[in-house]
Amino acid sequence: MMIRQYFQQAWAQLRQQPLISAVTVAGTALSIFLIMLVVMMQQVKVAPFSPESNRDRFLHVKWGSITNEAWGESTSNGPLSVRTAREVYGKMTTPEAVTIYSVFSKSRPVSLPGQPAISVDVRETDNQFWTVFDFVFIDGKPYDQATFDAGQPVAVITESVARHLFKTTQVTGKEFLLAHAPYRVCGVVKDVSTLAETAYGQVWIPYTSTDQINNTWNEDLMGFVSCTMLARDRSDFPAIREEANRRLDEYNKLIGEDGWKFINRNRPYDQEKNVLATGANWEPDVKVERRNRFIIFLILLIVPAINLSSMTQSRLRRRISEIGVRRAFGCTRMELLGQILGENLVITLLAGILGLLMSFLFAYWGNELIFAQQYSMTLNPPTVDASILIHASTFGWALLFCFILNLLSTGIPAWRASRMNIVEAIGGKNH
Amino acid sequence: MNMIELTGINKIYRTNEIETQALENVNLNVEKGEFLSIMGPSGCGKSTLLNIMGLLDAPTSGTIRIAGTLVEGMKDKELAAFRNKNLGFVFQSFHLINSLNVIDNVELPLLYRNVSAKERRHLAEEVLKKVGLSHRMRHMPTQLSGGQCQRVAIARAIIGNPEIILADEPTGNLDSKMGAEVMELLHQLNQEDGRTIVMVTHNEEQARQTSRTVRFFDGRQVG
Amino acid sequence: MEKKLFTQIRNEWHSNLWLALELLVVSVVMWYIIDLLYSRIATYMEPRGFNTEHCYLIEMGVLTDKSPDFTPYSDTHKQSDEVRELVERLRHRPEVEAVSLSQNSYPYNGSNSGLDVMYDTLHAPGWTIRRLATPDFCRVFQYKGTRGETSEQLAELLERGDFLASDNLYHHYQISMTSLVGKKAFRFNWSSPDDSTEYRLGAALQNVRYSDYEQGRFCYSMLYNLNLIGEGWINADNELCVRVRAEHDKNFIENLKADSEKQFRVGNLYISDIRSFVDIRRNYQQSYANELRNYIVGMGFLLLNIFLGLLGTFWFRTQQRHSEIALHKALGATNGDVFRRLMAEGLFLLILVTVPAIIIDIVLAQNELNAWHNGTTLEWNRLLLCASATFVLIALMIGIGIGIPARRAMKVQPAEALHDE
Repeated sequence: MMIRQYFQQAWAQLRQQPLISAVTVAGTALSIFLIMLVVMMQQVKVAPFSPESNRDRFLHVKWGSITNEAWGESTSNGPLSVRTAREVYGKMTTPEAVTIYSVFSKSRPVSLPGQPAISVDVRETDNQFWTVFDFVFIDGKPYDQATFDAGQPVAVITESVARHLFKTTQVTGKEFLLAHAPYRVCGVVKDVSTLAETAYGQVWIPYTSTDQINNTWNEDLMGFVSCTMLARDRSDFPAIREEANRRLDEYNKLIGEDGWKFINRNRPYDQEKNVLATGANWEPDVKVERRNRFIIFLILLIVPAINLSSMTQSRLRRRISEIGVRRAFGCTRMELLGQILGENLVITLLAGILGLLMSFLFAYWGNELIFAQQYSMTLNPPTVDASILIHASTFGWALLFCFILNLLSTGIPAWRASRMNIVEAIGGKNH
Repeated sequence: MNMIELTGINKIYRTNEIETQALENVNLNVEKGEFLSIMGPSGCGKSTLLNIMGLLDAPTSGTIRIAGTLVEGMKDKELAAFRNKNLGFVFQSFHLINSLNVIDNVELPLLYRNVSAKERRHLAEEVLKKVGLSHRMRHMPTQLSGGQCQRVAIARAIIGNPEIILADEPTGNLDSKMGAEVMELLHQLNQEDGRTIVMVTHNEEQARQTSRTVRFFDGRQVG
Repeated sequence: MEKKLFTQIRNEWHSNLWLALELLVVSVVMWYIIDLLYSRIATYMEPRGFNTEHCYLIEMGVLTDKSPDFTPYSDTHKQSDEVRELVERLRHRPEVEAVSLSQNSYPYNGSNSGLDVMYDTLHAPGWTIRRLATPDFCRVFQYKGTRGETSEQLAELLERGDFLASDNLYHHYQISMTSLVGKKAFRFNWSSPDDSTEYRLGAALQNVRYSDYEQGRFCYSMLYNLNLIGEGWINADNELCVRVRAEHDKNFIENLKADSEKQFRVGNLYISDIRSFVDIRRNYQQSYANELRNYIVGMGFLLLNIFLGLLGTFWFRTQQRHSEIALHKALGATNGDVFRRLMAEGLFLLILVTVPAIIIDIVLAQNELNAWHNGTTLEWNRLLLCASATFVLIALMIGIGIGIPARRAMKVQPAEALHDE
């Protein structure tokens, strides 16, 4: 009954004042719309979706820094060499798995012999890559340890690349040319969004099948690979970091003989921190980022809340005698407060659903605008689908922000209404 | 037995240095089952007195005893529960909630106690039958005549089965025919159910029909 | 009627307080955004010191031993020769104007190397960018000298073994590089700090900006001929940049790709990717573009809120004052009077909050919490300009927001004064 009355009265109010209702709904929906876009912009970076479903268990070493006694304060910054990655992180035992892969996918020509080539994004990986990331195989399987160790020219390709080259996706065992070298397809996976930044590619090959191991700078200490560890559980993170640091110290002892020192700036980073690490030579501050996001949310909530407060206030003014009568018949202050908040929550939720819907649509159609990546080697657009945009947490956040917005926009007017003198309220006097 | 006991009630309003004494040392007892009418010119303090009896307003000084309970220092929650249980209100301009239909309006006081939805509905239907509006349960207040509105308001006042009904010029906004209907209903509630009624009125005729009339002038009881 | 304005504003102080509070918050946030946009745009508009129009970046690939065509490198079969040959072949394409090889040099490049340029006791700032490039690099990106040297002249200077430096390299000493042109005693710290090889400054460059969002005055760079520092520096990892003649810049990528298999396979070398600088630039600056997008959306959001807020509040207000407005009209107020009266209320509130808003703006700027431009956050003319722009934009929203209910109020008939309420 209480709840039904909230709906009834909310609806009646919406109908009574069409313009004010439109303003209220528009203001609320707009606020939730933008807030949810901000939420989604963050979620595509940290929320799990295939092939990065284990984002909450990832620890990344995207890059590192190196210095030499002879350089003074200077450092050299960038991705690691295969040697460094293997010796420091590759042999770790605490994580469930560790993968080493090229830092960016690179655009390379692929073709069938005698046919024009297309450019595809190629990522060079080890075989652990397929354990850490959960690709959806629609044909064949990933390359295994033996194939990787032998440096065999095999490739996992996406559905789209398979279709383009062979007109079908059942192509395991077929050959094609990648950078003018023959490669054999060992598996076909579903296409991957560029938003899965770490795993993204269109073709994946063993880095042992190319010259990646010798593709180095600063002796063979720096190169073009990164690494990602998959923890068994987030609670293992400290132990993993500890092991990583221990191994780094050992490695530094070894390379220190030639004056080198590898600096890891508190890596490995978890997913949230890693997406902020757009440069190799600085450590991102997650707290500052969170604070900035908090300020954005605050502005997106406060400004409309002030507006809505004023609307709520005006609407309540028209119902002042009702408030008095309810109080006369035994409604407590808290009950009244609850009722006003409840009625407004109905409106807020209604508008919130509208805003959330708008944000989904906008995110879906405007993906290139909204999720444009900061700096990447691929020019392919960031595609999105439901598995990327819609999580249980998305709705959780939307609901939470609706509650907060409702509290901010209705709290003060409702509190004032509940404190009002009953006699004056029944008489319709405001102050 | 006294249903309402007012002792030494003073009410002073202060606004910007101006002090108005709305009630001055009022002592008034209303017995159980009595139908008391209060008369007096505008601004004499009769409405203020009714509000104080209804615990909607607090006196500046004096004590109030209602149904044997000394009402003093009650918290909002207790006060609300007390009003809900013991007092029913009828206002001059009905004060029905326009966005709710008749039966929802009538049920209102029961919302603030623990009564099941089924029970509420049942009681509301019963009181609406009593005021002769069973056929209007699903109507909205705006679809009713003034007299019907006031009967809905009376149904609302009695649904919680309070001992006391406080009516502030209940016929003030009605024509004489509808006014007579409403008065008849109030008398019925007084005589058949034994409810205590206190009514503020300007109408001598109506006052004469009640069991007792007190008159106020300038905040003082004059008769 | 006007005299009553203040009384009325005071009487409705409660709902005006909400409005004023909102105007204050929005005013400050809007100023912050406009200040940032102004700084970004002012930076964007500065001369860049280079031109990437009609330019392309070609990535070279090297065959691996998995390829049947692979032949191992040796003393007689050098990668540098293949790279040079590829450059020559590209240069002979009719649509190509200039081709260069370089290392960590092209514009909108995330990778860079640093170098100190020393003259006597003078040092370049710590973040001076070292650009190593073949002389044609100046022609590809159309570098210009401060004394009017053309790209061709700059290329010749590089060919001669001179180096070029951005004019601002010693600006912390208040010395312009232009004044040091021709001096021979410059030293670099690239092999060791004590390297005593001396270089001649051939010309000072118009400051070459690092990206469109960084001011030229803070971008330090030097340029030296890649050909002169050893054969090993010429390799397939070099950046191969091409300028295409403007009139022939059509389908360059497609055409080159189509021809690449037949004409541009040189030994182990092949063209693995071609990108236009339009894409490179966009890609590199995406984070800035994203930031601007966010702020512009934020600004729109705030303005829309102001609009909605005033629309709602004044809609109520004109409803409430129905009879009052009618009375005024009965007493001879014109439609214009009614309209102006309501407008004045809104604008008066805005003027009222603008004073504290500007004070807050100044405090924020003093505490360096807003955008940096010209090396500072507090420039009085910029602050004034941005605060004025804020005022105008908000006033505009107030105009529209109040305009709608005010129009409705104008339609009130004087007779309504008699029977309302």
